Amino acid sequence: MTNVQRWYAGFRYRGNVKQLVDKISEKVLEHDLSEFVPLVRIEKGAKPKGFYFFIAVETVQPGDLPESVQSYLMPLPFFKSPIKGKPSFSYDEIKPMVGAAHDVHDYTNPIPYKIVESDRNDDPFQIIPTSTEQKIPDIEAISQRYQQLLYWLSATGNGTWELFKKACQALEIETPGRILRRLKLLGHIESSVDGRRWSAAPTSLVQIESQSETEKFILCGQQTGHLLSILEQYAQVNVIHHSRGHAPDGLQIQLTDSTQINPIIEQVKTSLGLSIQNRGNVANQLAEILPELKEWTLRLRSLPGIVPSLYHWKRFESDDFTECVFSQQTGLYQMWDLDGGDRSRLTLFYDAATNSWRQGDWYGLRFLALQHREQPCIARYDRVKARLAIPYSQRWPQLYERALVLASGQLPNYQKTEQSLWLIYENVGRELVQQLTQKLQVTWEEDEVTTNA
Amino acid sequence: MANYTEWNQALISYFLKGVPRGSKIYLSVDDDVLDRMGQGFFLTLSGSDNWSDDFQEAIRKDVIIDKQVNLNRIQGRDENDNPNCVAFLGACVLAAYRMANEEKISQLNYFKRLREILHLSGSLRPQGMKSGKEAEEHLWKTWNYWLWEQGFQPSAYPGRGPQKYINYPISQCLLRQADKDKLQVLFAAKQWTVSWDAQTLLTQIRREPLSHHLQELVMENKQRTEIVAEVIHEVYQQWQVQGSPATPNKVGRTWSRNLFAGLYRVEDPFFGQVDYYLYPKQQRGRQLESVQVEYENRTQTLSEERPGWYLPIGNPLKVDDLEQGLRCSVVSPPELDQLILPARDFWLLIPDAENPDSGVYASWGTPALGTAFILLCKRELLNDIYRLRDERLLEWSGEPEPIAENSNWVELTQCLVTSQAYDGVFMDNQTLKDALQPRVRLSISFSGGLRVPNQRGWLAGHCPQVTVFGFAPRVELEVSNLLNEQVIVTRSQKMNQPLSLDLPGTGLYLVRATYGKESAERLVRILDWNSLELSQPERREFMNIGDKYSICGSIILPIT
Repeated sequence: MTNVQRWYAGFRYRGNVKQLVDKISEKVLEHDLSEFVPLVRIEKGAKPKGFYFFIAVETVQPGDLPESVQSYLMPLPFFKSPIKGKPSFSYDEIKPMVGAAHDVHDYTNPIPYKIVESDRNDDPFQIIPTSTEQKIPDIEAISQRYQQLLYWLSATGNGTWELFKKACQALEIETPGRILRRLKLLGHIESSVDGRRWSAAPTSLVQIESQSETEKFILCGQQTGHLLSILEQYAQVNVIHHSRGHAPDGLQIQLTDSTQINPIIEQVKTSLGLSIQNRGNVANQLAEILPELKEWTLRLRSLPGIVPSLYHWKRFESDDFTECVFSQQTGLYQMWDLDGGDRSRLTLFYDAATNSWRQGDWYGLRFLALQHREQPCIARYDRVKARLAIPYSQRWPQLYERALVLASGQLPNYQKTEQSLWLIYENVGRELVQQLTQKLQVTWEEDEVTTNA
Repeated sequence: MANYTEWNQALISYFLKGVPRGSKIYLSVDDDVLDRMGQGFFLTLSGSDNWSDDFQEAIRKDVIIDKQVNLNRIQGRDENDNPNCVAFLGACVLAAYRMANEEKISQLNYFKRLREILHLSGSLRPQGMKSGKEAEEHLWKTWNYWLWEQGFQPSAYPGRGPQKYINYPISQCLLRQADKDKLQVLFAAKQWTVSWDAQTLLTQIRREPLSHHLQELVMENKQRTEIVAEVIHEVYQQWQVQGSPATPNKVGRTWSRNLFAGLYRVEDPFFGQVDYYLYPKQQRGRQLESVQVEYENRTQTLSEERPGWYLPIGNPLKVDDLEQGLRCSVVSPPELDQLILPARDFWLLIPDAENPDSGVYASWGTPALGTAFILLCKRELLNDIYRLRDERLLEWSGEPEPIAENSNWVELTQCLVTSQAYDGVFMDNQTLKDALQPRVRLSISFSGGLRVPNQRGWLAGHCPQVTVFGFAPRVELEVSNLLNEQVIVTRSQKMNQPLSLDLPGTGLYLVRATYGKESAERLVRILDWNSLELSQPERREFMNIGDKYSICGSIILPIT
């Protein structure tokens, strides 16, 4: 094997730099000389009245120009004045003159280098409340994309937040942070405490309160179109669109008798090899075991080692974040890099009592901030229709809201009144309301009668 | 005696077991391989002098009827959906090996050797194989198609003119007996008794004067040199197992007694903490039921993570482990001695080809053109590395980051080999140059779309973009349906620019890029939404509720 070496031939030229580069490039490409002359380097700050330039040459013997380079390149006027007394240079010898990043013209068709921006600043808990009054033109078409997302998540099993976002992007679903939250509320997936990983939840049937003679179950967790078709063979399956279509359709299984559920589970196991779990009334179970707000706060992920002086801070005041100087006051904060950027690094709750930074779902942290400001948190309950209304601006922490959503398998509807926007949860039993509002220190009203938690 | 079906199954297992998906598969059957397979799969020999004879006898029993070849019984697939033709194709390769060992490559010599295996006299195409297109080519295509389906890359291809059909088996031959002998002589002369890994060994060999054939094997197209490096490494290890003899032995008949490990890198997404784990590699072709190693003062059982690799084991590696390498005793099976993490000057870590968004990097192989990788190296290599950047051969992002405080090891992230003009650049560390220097001019990469990692495909309506990376301005791109070979797209495409694939429906599509004499191929599988299957997550996330319960979706479980 011959040992080819890269060396540089140096020249001085007086004239137009661009013209020199264009002409040399033209010749190199025309005669396919890039194998011998991979690049040209021009002196830093080259001026038309005179500058040095160097061609890289690859040959066995430094100083020996290949015949084709002699024939096609050297006759060009730019090469009339070679640097005298030194037929070849090493890169180290010319480096101070040409610099690594200065004018280099590469003839080897290099692969373009693109830096992939790290998304380390991307906070999966970050949800910016937006107008909820959008008109949805075609709910079915939209919800189909969410359905596809759920099927894809079920087939993929688990992954990173990055992967989740890419899937949303491929399906043209915006605001992946919101859809992640909705899927968690519906019991379809779970994410890690730091929000960086997710996994699909096991397939389960969750019983919900029924106002009629029939027994009702909702399907949660991993699912495919095939599973749906099998269920449809053995039971009445009601497909429920969420009010704005921004979630996979809910699947409600209606039975005349709860004893019918086990044979259906058996049929699915036989046909698909899938074990569906019958989990009973999860909404009530969850409400039972959820901690009081204070305890929940203490169990939020604590982020140690944050040095406040290394960041800019914005504090949540009334309904927005405003610039502040961090003075160890309890509250909800946005952490921004000192050099700015177009989005905050993290949204965190600072608890002065424990001098700790807490990470959690965005609405949950906001709820904490409201409670800490002693802003009254309220709810209204319609006992006849079993509906609970919560102000949109006081949305509950995700786990508590999950109990409400799993009571019906439906995301809340939005109801606008003159003063505010409300979230309306369906099929919520009175006992469930009592338990949850008590734990969250929410004052609720029922049929015009005020009840204090 | 093992029958045709058993040999057929054994061959499939031998050539695919422990092989990472996406690898190019060579059906390189020779006498040594058959011997090793026989010992591994069938244990005791009866009725024949050696395993090669046993194999040939099994082939004859199934495909020779009335003194002529009858391939009817080996068409199609068996009850496990494996192709029936593999053992017969293996016999064709054996004939090609024997010819290459001793004679000039020609139809006459090839068929003479094949006839010897089949116990047929004469030297022309045997009766029953008169039409190469309908006889053996059809079988090679069946094998190639099946390999694509399984997620591997076939390597058998036709030649030109009179060698069209015999080129299929010839293209499968890697090291001839003479090459193995020469390598052993070289190892002995150089007294190479250290435990190098395949890549380091290859670099050492490349520095030595070699026969023309060996020189071609180790210097040519990189897609082939990777497998050649592995095969040479096997010869090297077997030579060591035999006590590093001064004269060549029949080395291929024993298995290596060591497992090798690479690195598995995970990064905390928020705090950026990087950890490396010991990542044991499986032995190609070997059936090992349960492997247990003594590591970190306890016995650890290796379980398969994916084809070719076991799950990473133990706690994060320390800098000393990288610096000095590691050797762990294998507790079982007794046929193995050690699990070795070689002491190297650098590691190249690439993203997971099957799940590029996982954030994990590991020593899964050499980076394909256009694939950003992580270079983990000793500080003393930085001069070489900066030189590569100065000469526009390598780029990376940011500054080299030490992997621990005051560490001699640094990481360079988002590295990309940008040019192939490495020949003229001198580097102190030749192994690094060898590892980085591209030996192919084309590479096909898929991005975007909606990929289903577990089913190794993309969903209909969400096809990936294809980018051909390489060092030419344009490339000829062809997309065809693998099943019916119908060409769907043919166009001249700008190099290094993504192109959206608009494929007509579900199925397997072959993307082929050609520039001059070089070409690259990759398969893209398009799945129907209805074909999605539920996948058991490798890890389920649970959120704790208080200290007694946790929840995943709607599943509430007590914390144990």
